[in-house]
Amino acid sequence: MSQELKEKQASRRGFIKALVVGAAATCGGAVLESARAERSFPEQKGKHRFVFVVDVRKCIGCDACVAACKAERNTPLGVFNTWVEKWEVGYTDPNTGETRVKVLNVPKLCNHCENPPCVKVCPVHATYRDEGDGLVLQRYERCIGCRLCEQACPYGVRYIDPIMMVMNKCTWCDHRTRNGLKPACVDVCPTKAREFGDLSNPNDPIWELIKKNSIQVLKPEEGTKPRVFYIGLEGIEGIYVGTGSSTENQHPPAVWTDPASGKVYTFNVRMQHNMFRESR
Amino acid sequence: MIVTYGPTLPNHIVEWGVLIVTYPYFTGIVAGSTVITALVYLFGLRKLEQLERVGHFLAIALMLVAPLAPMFDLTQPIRAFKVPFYPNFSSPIILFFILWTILLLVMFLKSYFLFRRDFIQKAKEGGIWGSIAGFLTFGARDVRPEEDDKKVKFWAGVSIPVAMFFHAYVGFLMSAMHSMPLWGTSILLLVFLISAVVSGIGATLLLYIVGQAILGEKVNPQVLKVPTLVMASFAGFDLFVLFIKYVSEWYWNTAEWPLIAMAIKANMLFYLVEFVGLLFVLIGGFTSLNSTVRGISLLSIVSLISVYAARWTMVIPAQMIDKGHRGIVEPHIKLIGREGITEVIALYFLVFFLFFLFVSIAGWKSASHKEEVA
Repeated sequence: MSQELKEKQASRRGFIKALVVGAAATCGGAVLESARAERSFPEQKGKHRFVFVVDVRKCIGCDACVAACKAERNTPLGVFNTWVEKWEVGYTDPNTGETRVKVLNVPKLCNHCENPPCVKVCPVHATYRDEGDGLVLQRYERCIGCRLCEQACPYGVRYIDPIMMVMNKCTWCDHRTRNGLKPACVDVCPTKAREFGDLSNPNDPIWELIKKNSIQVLKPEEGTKPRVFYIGLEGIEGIYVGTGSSTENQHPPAVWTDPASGKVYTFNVRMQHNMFRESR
Repeated sequence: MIVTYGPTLPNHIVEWGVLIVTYPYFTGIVAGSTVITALVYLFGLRKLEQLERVGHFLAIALMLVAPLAPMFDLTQPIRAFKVPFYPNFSSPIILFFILWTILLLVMFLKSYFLFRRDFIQKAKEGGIWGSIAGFLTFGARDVRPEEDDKKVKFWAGVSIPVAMFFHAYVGFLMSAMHSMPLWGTSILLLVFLISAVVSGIGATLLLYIVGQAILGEKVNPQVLKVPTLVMASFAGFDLFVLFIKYVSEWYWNTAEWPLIAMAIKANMLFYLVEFVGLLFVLIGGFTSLNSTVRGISLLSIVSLISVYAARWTMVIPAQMIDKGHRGIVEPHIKLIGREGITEVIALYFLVFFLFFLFVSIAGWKSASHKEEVA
């Protein structure tokens, strides 16, 4: 082989090598870039971990929260994002063993579940769970109005907006809470029966409330992992007003992992399930 | 005005009304008519070919109209077309789109091979129907009855399970709503499927008898005896499954039972029509009623009415029960407007219009039958 040919081949090999290395570097860079973009996406969004606490013992049933919500969200007549139920419940006095009756005012709103059945059944992703702050929200312009989410929701918080004619619900005032404010219903509550906080902030006073008190959630047997925590529904479960059988519904404790610190908190969650009959 | 009994949650109303009652009724007839297809092509009861043909016309007409019922039920019907563009595969509604498309394709393929001979003959006759039939042959004008028959057999075999799945989907959707008493049980799937067979055979028999009477042709009740017996047996099977469902609901005596009982009482008329009707079909199907044309017609009419009542009892009472489990809400059925009865009547008219259109194109009787007569 002549020297000239060898040089020619060497230069060709060099050219191909450079081409391959260049292409690999470009592709690799692109892959890394896209991976970084994917990784950074939830990190950027996941700055909040909202949670709602309702202290039933403090609620006086004034309905100021309902009025504030109506004004804030401009909710049409006949439908509600939040409401206050009045429960007449029988309970056994732990000291005397006597059976007594008491009236509870129980505020209800969307639970923004961690495992929301409404999101699972929506055919067009119109209802979605924001992975960043865990809010379950609605894309109004996409909703087709099949009402499957309403059938799937065990808490009855969803409704067809009679003006927009699409599904609507409580958003925990995302337009306020994402900007550092509290939901309208929390702001107006005169007795602080409604509290709202961000679990990603270790100094948030909501932590104190959760750690000090026994926490209950609504319909835990549905497996929805609700994020509205109730205080004061303890001790009345299992008492059946009106229809017979009473059950000792002791449920395994709920576990909450703080995403910021990775710390695991265990709450004593007891069943509060359809054993109440209301007399309004 | 929303009428409630006992305290109910403020947003609760009966969302799905008569249109959603009608939808599983239509798909049930589609699924049920494939039982006659099975009798003809899988069990070799070739005497029922004419009956199967009528059932096939009806099935295609219903297949095309059925999606309109849930579509009219949407609060934003135009946005129904968003579903294929933003599909959420964890939603049961996506199953509907997949199964409906597959079934429609299978039905059209079966129709092509079933009616090809009729189309070729009709194309020779000329005229408007002739030119439509000529187009539907898609250029294949050679007559090969044996090959076509094999293909019809194949696609008929495929259509049976697909149609059953397509109908069972409604039961699946409702049984997936496990927070709702009366719905959240997997036996619902079986209830839907079995009652579908009753209504499917009933509708096909009735249309066949009426059609033959209009054309002045004779009906041999002995030929119709087998499908009548199958219908009666399935009515019994349906009663058995319903009995299991309601007795276990009562025996479990869950927290929801008082409300279930209230909802059943509020719909007692529909429950009575359903149970008495099915019992009549069960008993009548095994008496001398099955050997006269009038008797078979009566059984078919009763089966159709009782299964419609069954669809009502499947869809409405469960929604009446409040999510707070403390009261029930009355359904609000309108005559005119969204979710009105007039919409349902319009859908029925559309089904019959399409049925007559298909009969006009392909002919009430098959070409081979005409040749035999000649």
